[in-house]
Amino acid sequence: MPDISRYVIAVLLPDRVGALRDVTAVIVELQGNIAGIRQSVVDGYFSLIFTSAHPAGVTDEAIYHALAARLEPAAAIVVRACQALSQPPCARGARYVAMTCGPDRPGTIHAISAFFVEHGINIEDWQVENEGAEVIYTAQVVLPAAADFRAVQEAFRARMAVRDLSASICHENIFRATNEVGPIKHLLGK
Amino acid sequence: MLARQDVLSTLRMVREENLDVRTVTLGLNLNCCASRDPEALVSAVRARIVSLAGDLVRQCDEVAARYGLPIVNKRVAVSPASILLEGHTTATAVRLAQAMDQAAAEVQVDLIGGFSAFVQKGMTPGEGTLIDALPEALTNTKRVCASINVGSTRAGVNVDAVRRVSARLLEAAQASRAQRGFACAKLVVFANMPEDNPFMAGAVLGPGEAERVVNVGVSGPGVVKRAIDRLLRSDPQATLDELAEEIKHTAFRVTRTGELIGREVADRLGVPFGVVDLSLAPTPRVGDSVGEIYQSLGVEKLGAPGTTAAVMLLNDAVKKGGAFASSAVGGLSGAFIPVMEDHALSQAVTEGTLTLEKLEAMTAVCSVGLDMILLPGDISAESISGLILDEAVIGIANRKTTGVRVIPVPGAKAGEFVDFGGLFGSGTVMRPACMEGAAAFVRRGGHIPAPIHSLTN
Repeated sequence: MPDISRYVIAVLLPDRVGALRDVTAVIVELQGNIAGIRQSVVDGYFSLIFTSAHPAGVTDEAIYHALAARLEPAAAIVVRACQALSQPPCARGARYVAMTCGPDRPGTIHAISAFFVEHGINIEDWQVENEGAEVIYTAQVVLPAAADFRAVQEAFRARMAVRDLSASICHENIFRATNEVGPIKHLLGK
Repeated sequence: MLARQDVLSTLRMVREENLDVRTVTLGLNLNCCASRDPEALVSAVRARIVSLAGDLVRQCDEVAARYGLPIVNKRVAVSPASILLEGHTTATAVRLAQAMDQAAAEVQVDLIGGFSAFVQKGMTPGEGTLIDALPEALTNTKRVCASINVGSTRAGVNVDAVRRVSARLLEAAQASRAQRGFACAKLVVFANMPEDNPFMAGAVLGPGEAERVVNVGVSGPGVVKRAIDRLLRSDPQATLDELAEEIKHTAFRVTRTGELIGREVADRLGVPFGVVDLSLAPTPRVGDSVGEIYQSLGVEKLGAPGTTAAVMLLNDAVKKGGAFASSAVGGLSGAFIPVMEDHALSQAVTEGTLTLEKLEAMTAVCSVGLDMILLPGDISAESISGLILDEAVIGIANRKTTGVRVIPVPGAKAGEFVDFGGLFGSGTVMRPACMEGAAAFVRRGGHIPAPIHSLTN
């Protein structure tokens, strides 16, 4: 029997000061060690996802109930045993930034994400920015190494144009080059 | 993971602020093509260019697509053609230019530089041949650009060469009369010409360069202007040093872009990467103007007292930002003031606020010199020589590059409007305040000795 139990935990609640403190207090009490963690605030809602490792006797139910007791009733909590992935979500490849800009309409995110699925592209991060009447979505994605980048790029532009969106996909290096200090050669793997 | 603001700011630079790579220039050494047989010479030159530059455009297009960044021009710069012309005639020189032109067309580049000679100390027969062939070579080719280095801080100025080039320049204007003297737009006369300049018309694979090399010229006047405008919106009282800091930061990002593009193209071609030339190179398009930068800084009327100071501030800040961004900065690297290619500068000339004399003062602190300036068609060769000499000594005395690219428009008078179209732009014919009066000085010929500070050993 393994000595360690690993869990993936998600918490959603109206944003307030002290949310992360309260969640991590529970993890400490249950002798947990947090590995990966990501927090964001979207439209006033605090969203947290993390993995933690606990002594074998700590169950997912125990974690859930401890968090529920500590947090307010409005909090949504999910605790799942952390499964080792049998294979990565998509074939290995390079990271790109996909961007669309245009009118805010229902279905845009679905259309973008559906396109990505068709081309085996995995979304690693997603952000939205409002500029007047326009919405800019930027997604940091991984394209499979075998993908024909130019074909994917053209297809993305064409698909988004139908929705009156300007669209682009470009390699992450352009963003790193313009915002990082360090030899450009290193970005090119030299 | 990339930070949100980093992504957005870079996207803004590309989408809204006209960030692009102005040129990727492949330098090619042609010295191995030397031959006493004219036919063998021109065939070898054409074959070598086509063979080595054939994949340039495709690779540039791939890299541009990969990074979402336009590479506006793909060009070729060869080793000085004068070296190949030793023992040859002007007829062969013209054929050589035509071979370069045909090869450039075949590899689909829009301009090819290197019909050039370095004559700052003296002139070989081949160099003289090239100079004498300029009128016909530039008139009968579409893509060939020429450059002649007549001075250097180390050598002084070769006045005899200046006189010879000036005479040929006027002949080139006449020969291309039907195109309003356009042949002269493809000729620049330099002092301290850099060996690695990727921008036309002065691009050449100079002495000391590798067999092949990729040099990159970035752009970014629009990016710099918008950065200044953004700062001034948030802080209308921003001081000049604060504005200089903002320009520096922007130049950093623009330079990094250029190096990324250049290195990747070089890798794909299997060629060494040379330099990023971080010059702010305008186009006639509104929003892509160096003149607009000065206006954003507060020089409402270009040419007013203070304009030269603004040029210096911009040029210096660009260099500082670029130098931090990359250790491979070279070429000209600064702020161009090409009158016809910058709508704001061109407008200021038309309105009479920006004079030739003021432009000359600005060249003491800017990147290049008197660039893309239309002159009256009746200007004398001696006056053109005088203009070149004035610019050359600014260069050699200040240890900087200066150049003269002027177009005497046959039959045109000061105030007349000329439009060359495309990146060459349009403008108003301008004249020196004093058109003639130093002919005797120029006709003395000989050499202007190198300045005392050239003795650095």
